[in-house]
Amino acid sequence: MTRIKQTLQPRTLILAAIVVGVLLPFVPLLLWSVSFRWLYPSVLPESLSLRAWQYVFSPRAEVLSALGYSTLVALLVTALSILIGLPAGRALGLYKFRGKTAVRFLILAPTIVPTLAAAMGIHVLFIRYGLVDNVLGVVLVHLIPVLPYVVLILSGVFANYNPDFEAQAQTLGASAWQRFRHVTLPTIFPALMVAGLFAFIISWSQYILTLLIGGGQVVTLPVLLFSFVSSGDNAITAALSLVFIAPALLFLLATARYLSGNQASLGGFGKL
Amino acid sequence: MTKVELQQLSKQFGEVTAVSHVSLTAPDGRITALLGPSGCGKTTILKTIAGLLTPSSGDVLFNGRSILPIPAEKRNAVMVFQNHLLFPYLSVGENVGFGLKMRGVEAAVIRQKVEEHLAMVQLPGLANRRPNELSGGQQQRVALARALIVEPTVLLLDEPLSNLDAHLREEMRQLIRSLQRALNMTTIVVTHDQEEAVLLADQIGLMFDGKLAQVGPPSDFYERPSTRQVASFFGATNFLVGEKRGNVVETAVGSLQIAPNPIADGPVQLTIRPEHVQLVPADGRLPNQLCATVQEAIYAGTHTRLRLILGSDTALTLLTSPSAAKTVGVGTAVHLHLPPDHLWPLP
Repeated sequence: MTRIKQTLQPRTLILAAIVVGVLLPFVPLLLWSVSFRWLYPSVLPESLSLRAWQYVFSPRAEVLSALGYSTLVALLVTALSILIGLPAGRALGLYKFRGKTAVRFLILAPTIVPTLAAAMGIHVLFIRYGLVDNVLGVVLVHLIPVLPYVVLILSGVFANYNPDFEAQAQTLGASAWQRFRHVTLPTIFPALMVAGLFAFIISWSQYILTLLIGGGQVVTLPVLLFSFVSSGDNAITAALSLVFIAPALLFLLATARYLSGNQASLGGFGKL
Repeated sequence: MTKVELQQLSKQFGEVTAVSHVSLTAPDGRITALLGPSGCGKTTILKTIAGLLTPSSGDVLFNGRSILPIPAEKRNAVMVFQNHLLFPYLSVGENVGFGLKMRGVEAAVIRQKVEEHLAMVQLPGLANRRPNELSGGQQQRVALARALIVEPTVLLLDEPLSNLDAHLREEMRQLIRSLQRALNMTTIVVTHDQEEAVLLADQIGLMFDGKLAQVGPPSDFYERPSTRQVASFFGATNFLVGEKRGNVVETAVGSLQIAPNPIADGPVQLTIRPEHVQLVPADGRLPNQLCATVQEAIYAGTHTRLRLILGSDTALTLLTSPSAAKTVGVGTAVHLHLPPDHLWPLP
């Protein structure tokens, strides 16, 4: 009993520190969003109001439509990136082939090369193919910063993957789909969740790429948020920031358990 | 029940030939062992029968019918891998029932069959455990139950005993034998251990470098090996070079009588197993009596291994009881008898 207590206490402290470290920055945001007047010397707002929240949820603020666009784009990007990343990760993690190093480098290139540089060139092409000012174009351009992370995570899990399990299932009578459904999927599920989390959050926070390719027609939350930041209305900006953060935070909490523990899909994170 | 035939089976991986023109029949309802050193192509053959590999040439027949067009999942030739490969995210029961679930069998039927098969491998009531809660021997038995539950036409076992401790190996070997007898299931076992093959199989196919060296019942490999390599693999150490003429072989240590056999006259190597060389009194009544000097005596508990020198440089090894070995010290001269029945000529 005493030994359990001793090992538990530092862990609890560290957990508490992490929770405080993550959640503390939200306190001023929350206060700003409900403040009416908050001038320099006072520690807390002098008077409170729900004006910012009323505005955020009113139809003319277009927050709900931006939320819709952001969700639609992020979900499509997540699905597409996993659809592409799964076979790519399997090939890179499991198989030997000529030019593997070059392929790996090219896939990781967007994390090194500034995306904007590539996007400028892509913009011209997208105009030619009618992929600007619409959701499809935005989804495609979001894949550039998203794919390296998804492929990296999935190739990592496939590097430790034993394909003999699929062969075993096959001799037991499992068809190709059954092998994917009952062997591959459950084995890589934690990594798939983490890859999905990265894809969603990276897409969710894109600003420049959305603005460039979406051309002001696809107004996602970051695009809307930046216009309010420059307008200088702190209360509305704070409320909008919270709306912006909430879904990503929920998504993170839902998938966090795959980031740690024995089944961790990211090496080195260990058990929290 | 299924008879498995391999016809001129070959498999190349790029430039490397893993299996070369192997023809072998695994009789219906028997255990056939594919034996050989690691890398000799025996697992490649097993995977080819299972359908996990496609042969480069040749054919695989089940009951006279080629099964090469049939995909692995429809062959019902179930392979049990060396490291048992239990799905870690499923319970023991779900693992055993996996094949039935793939076939769309009702859950209630699966549950009942899983219990039956767990009892069959002497693990009743463990269906709700996780694979990692079981010992290595238990995991191996779960893997066996998972294969048996789909009533395979052919059971393919890849080194089923190599991951087990010595005492578990004996237990598992008996379990495999008794289940195979009870179910009368055609079984092909891959192993690198000649003792394991002898104890487990009705028929052995010995392979070197992708080629089949000899096929036959286990006793053939001791009594009538086909080549020196085969004899050596089964622990033979005594080889005498000579010239065969009828039932007599002229060797450097004298002319020796042998039993009638089908080997052609000409240069041969005679082999005799160490356990068949006899120490005898010097009376000259038995044929094939030789004089030798004891060079070394190695005590091995149940027997003593004597290394002898005949003539100038011919070495022989014999096994004798430790009590008999006490009467002959190192350096003493002894008389040997090489029974003609046990002298076997190799081409």
